[in-house]
Amino acid sequence: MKNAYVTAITQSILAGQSVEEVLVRVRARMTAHGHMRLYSQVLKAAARVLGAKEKRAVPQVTLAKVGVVNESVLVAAIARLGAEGKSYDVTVDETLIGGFTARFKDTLLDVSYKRALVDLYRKITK
Amino acid sequence: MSTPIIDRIKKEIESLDITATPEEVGVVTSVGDGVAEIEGLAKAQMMEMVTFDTSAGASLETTMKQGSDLFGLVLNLEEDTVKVVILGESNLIKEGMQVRRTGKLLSIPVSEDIVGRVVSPLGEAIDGKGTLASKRDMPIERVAYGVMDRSAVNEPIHTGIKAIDSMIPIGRGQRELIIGDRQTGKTTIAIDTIINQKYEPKEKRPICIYVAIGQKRSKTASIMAKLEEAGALEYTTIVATSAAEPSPMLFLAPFAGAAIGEYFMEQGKDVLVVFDDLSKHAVAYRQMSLLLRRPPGREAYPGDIFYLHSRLLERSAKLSKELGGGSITALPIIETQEGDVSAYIPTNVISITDGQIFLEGDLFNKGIRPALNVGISVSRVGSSAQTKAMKKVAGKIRLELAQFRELEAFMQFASDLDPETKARIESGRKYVELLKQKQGSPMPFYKQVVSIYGANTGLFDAATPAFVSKIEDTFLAFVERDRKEILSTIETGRELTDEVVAKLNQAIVDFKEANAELYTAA
Repeated sequence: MKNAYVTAITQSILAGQSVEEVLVRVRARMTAHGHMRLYSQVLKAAARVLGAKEKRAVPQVTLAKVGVVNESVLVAAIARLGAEGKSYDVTVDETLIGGFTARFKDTLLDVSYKRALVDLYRKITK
Repeated sequence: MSTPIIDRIKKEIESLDITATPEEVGVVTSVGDGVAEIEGLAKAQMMEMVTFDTSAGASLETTMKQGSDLFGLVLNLEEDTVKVVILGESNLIKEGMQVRRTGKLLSIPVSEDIVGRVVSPLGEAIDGKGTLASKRDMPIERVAYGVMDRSAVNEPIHTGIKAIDSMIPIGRGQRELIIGDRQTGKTTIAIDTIINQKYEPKEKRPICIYVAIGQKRSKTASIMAKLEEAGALEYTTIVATSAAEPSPMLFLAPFAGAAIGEYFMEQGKDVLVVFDDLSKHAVAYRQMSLLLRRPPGREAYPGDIFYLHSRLLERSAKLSKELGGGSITALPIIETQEGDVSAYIPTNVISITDGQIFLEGDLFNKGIRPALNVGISVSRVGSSAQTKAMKKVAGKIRLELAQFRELEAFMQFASDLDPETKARIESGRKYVELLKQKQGSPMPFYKQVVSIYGANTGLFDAATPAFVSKIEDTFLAFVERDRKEILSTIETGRELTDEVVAKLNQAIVDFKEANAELYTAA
């Protein structure tokens, strides 16, 4: 039930309808069916889904430390993932040790040292 | 310093390729009851393995301590999401966690080392005897061999149980269902069959696979001990899942058993697989399907429960000579409730298999063990695989028992019956006694032939039914001691030649003469 409302809201908004209009209609529908107790949960879930979608629309780069990877390498990596342009969001994760990960939509490029070391460790200890 | 380990690490580092390729990833949107919903993974395939990135944000040391990846199995492909069953600790999965495709369908690593071991449905050793080497990854799910790849069932697999080998013979490549209420001896028949394979010549001995689906761990441990004690574990693999494990593991267990079987079958070997039991498997699949929000059908089982069992059991086959002539014989077990064979899952599996061995609680309580109802037990293809020797002696026993069953109702009027009817009833009772067999003592087929031949030709004529068992044991001991050539001729020739018949007749006469006290005591 909750998922159906969430899907309806997110798809309507992504299709270009105004947020206000969508919410008014959803509220009316939920009131008519006696589902208003779910309203806050539905809104939270819809906000999470839309937020995730928005985040995925911009390439995400995670670095072990700022400035250790050449910008041109990062741009090339993003281009490999099919993203156009040079803009991307950067986050720092020290546990990567070195290298970086780049993500755009459903594709990930993981050239972190952590991944390489874990793969090596598992290969040797298998 | 140079040690093999350091050399190995150096070699791995030299060949290390850190040029990564883009991978398809998704994000966990919800998780619960061992099922995760994942957004993304648009190209994921049904039954594909995915890995959960449980190491995100964790240090290198913690990640290494975690051991292997946490896997999931894709089972629902939906419009924007996929649903995955978690093959491991589902409490490690969190919303927002990244999930990677592996591009590999679920498979199990198999090699010859797996024989004699206890493994999980994912092929990991769980008997504490060390890790297992892997030679080949066998897919858990695959399409069964087609008609042209198969040959007819033409070789017997002996269970060591007189009632089965004589009247409901099973062939290599057949699927014979063992069905009955709880505590009627279903598992015992399967285990005795495995133990009996030790009497087969080594080159013809099938590899046995016992798949415990949702069984108590204590039961699996006692079966393992029993097989070890009987010397049968050396050619047996146990795929064990307990009732405490998550339902996906129970669902995978029989498919893992079939995959291991196929590895050996494709090498031209014979394999015997026991699925203990498919009722629990159906329940596990129902639980999983409901969690995956698939629409429920009859008795809340999903609509494809028949397809699930048919595609599992279709994988047992007798391959053609061109493909090596290997085989998988399947002995699925089904537990009924109050003897109701017309319930949903029993009727499904009855219609899929090539016959059934029906065990009855009433017979069990009467002391008839194995508690086999020979009236409704059948084998549809096994008779063409029966040895000539057994075929020759088994015809009469079937007829005698059929007549006995008809006359059984009149037994209470014994004093009013004519002598001929009385004699038939008496003879029937002796056959019933002859077919009784103790648990864990399967009998090689050549001894069965001798025993049944004796019954057909008057070995028990002057005895009462109570003495049948004793006379049989003494007679077999006599033949084994004094007329060993009879047993060896039947074992190798698998036929009852005129010469053997003459020797057997003489042996019966000699035995009766030498053991007159057994008959007078009766």
